[in-house]
Amino acid sequence: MTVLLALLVAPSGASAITAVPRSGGSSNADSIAELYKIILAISVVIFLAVEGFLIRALLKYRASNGAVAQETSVTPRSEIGWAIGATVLVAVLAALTFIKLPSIADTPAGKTITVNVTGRQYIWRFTYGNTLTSPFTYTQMVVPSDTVVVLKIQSTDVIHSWWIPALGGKTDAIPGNTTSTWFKAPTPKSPEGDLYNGQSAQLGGRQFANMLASVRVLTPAAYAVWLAKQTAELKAANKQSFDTRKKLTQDGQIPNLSPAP
Amino acid sequence: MSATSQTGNNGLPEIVTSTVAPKTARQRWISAFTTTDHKRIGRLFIGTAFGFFIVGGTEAVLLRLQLGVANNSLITPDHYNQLFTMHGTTMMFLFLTPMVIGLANYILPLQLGARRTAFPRIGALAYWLFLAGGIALYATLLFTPPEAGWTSYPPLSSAEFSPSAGQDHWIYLFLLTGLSALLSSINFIATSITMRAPGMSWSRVPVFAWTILAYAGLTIVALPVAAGAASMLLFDRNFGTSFFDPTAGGSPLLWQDLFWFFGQPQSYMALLPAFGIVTEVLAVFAGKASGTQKAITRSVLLIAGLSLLTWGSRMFTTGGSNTLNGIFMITTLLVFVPTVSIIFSWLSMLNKGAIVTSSPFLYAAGFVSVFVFGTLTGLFLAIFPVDWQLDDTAFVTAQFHYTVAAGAIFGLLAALHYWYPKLSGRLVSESLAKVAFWLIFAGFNITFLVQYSLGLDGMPARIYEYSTTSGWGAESLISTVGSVLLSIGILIAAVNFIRSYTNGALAGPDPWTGNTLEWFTPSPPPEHNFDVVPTVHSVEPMRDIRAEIARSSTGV
Ligand code: HEM
Repeated sequence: MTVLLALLVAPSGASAITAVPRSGGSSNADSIAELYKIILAISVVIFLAVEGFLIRALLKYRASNGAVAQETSVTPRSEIGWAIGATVLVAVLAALTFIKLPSIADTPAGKTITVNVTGRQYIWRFTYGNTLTSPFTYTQMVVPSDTVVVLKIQSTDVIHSWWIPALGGKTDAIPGNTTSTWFKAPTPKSPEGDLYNGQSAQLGGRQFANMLASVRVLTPAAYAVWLAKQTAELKAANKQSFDTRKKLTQDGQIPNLSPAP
Repeated sequence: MSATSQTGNNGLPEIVTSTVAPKTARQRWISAFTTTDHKRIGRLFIGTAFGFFIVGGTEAVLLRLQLGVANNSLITPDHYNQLFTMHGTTMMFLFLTPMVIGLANYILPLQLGARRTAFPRIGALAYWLFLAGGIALYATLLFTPPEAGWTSYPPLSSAEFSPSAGQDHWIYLFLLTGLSALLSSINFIATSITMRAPGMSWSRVPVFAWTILAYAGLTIVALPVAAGAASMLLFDRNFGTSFFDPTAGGSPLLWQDLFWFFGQPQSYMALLPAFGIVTEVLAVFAGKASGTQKAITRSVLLIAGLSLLTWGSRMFTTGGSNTLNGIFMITTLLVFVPTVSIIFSWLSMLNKGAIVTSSPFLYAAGFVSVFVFGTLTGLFLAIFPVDWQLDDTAFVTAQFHYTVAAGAIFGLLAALHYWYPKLSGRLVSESLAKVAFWLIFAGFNITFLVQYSLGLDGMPARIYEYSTTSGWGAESLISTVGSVLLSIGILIAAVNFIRSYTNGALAGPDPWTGNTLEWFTPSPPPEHNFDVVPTVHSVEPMRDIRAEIARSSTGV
């Protein structure tokens, strides 16, 4: 036991017990964490009361201590009482959920960009735009801070699940469907930007454990620079490949030529 | 009183059996395969299911050994996926359900005062179907076991992404064990309707029998839906249909709807009999009659009904409308209401009792204490925005094991310790049973408590490795140590059962002063169960019988 406890508090990168989901990268994650904490508070109270009562009864009413059983029967009154109590509790929880829901589910107004997220065994692809020549990255998404980033999530093979814990909940990537979620990250502290890590949460096959994802948040200005550079590089690469193909076609080495980018 | 007409001689039962010629060895062998005696079928189910429990537990320990340290290479990724698929499938379909069916086969007719089940041959067929399902699944060890998880989501489970026949065998297992459960359920319901002892009105049916009825009813409603889905998957894989293939107009989400329509109640189906067992054990070992029984029965039936409306709570992350999510949140939260009623009934049963902490009681009380935790943490998963953070993580693994697996481990071990004297005629070693219990209790909590934390810290379920930078190493190691303790405890319990079978002290018909009719029979009961079926006057007939005997022997 002591070894276990020592392990728990051991330093060297080992985390202590976590009791709340991650948050801090986006307001929807923060709202979820707040809702979580309310349920946590309620359940801790119930837990202590019930387990306390249980342990007390187990210790106190032992036949070996000469306890004599007194018949109990659950009266309709206590049954109805419990039912009302529990119903009120779940009604409160449901109400709180619906109160918090808009701050979690509704995409806020304001400056917005859309990133297309495509999951496939075992890598995430991010496309910044809707054309064939839009810039794209794999594994790491780059976004501007203080901007609503809407994600359109798809899969080309099996079901995956998009999840960066500090940026909010999961959204499944389902072949044949497009699902959507959003986040809005705060201004990064350093010029390289803030990094948020996550990974696919839905079993997608053998290397599912390594379907990692991260989001790098840059200031809007740095993001604009980054995007312009990506666009230019992609354009240059496309041009180069077009020129090469053109040359090969003229030399008669390959028959077809796709239209110029 | 009318009982005197059936129990002559001062209220004591008459012995009316004659001697039976002993069977030859050959006859015994043949009868092992052809038996239609519900008790022998029950024992076959219980023994085989316990064997699968050990196999599934071994698989779980292998999983935990792989996850004990970061970047471990003990088990390859494909084997890891096969192991958790086999573990989940084995525990759900080859341990939990058949153990419940086995106990019900054995105990239900005895509790009802019946001499056999309504359809003895169907009861026997159910066993052989279950065994065939187990063989179909484990035959895949010879080639490639299934690796798409116990939920087998397409497209991952489709022919394109799981080409091996292992996935087909998973479907065979599902259909064979499903048919076994369906036939058993029909048998239980028919037996309960038609074969109850004289005087046993519905309000005098014991709570365990009620929970079996709830289980059976749910099985009949929900299982065919998933069996249909499994057949569709088989057709998709082998005959070119495309029910679940999005590239040909099919829908992968259709599978999730159909599977969880069964799979979510399945968790409750397995828990309800555990509720029944725990209720009876707590009552007997707290020296109480079943004054709380009606409340618990009502709640059990309510849970059974509500559970059919909760399947969407497993699909909160699929991007469905939040109106629908909200509806499923409310139905799932409503299950909390009767659950609270059950937990409070148990507490009031223990309150002011005269508790004897024998092994069955320890397991039952252990179940209550972990189940409270599992229920409360289940609230988080019902609240759908919070589930968006927790779904598919180690948090869900933890919560699942704190409820369903706790029902399977603590609930069914309580049942096995409670009814062991009836099955074998002997008592287990109490000291060994206590050692086993405390190891299991400690090991269980150490294994699964930290999993909540891991899930909150971002660890998905079903990953075969994680990096050193993840920060999950310490808790994972704790969990692995816990699983070793847990499995040592289970092995000690198994050794105890095996040793006591020949070496245990003789139990006599009623070692625990039980409340229900199975304790009226000798241990183990003769083939026809009852020489005389007593007339039932209350929900705890053994109390009446004991009182009657006491009256007659004091000559009042
Ligand atoms: C004997 C003690 C047990 C241990 C140590 C154990 C351990 C585990 C572990 C570590 C996993 C997660 C694997 C992963 O996500 O990577 C798991 C999954 C699972 N366990 Fe258990 N378990 C035990 C008993 C049970 C029982 C009794 C049941 C059934 C009622 C059960 C049902 C499941 C299911 C359904 C899964 C999910 C499988 C999947 O992901 O497809 N387990 N178990």
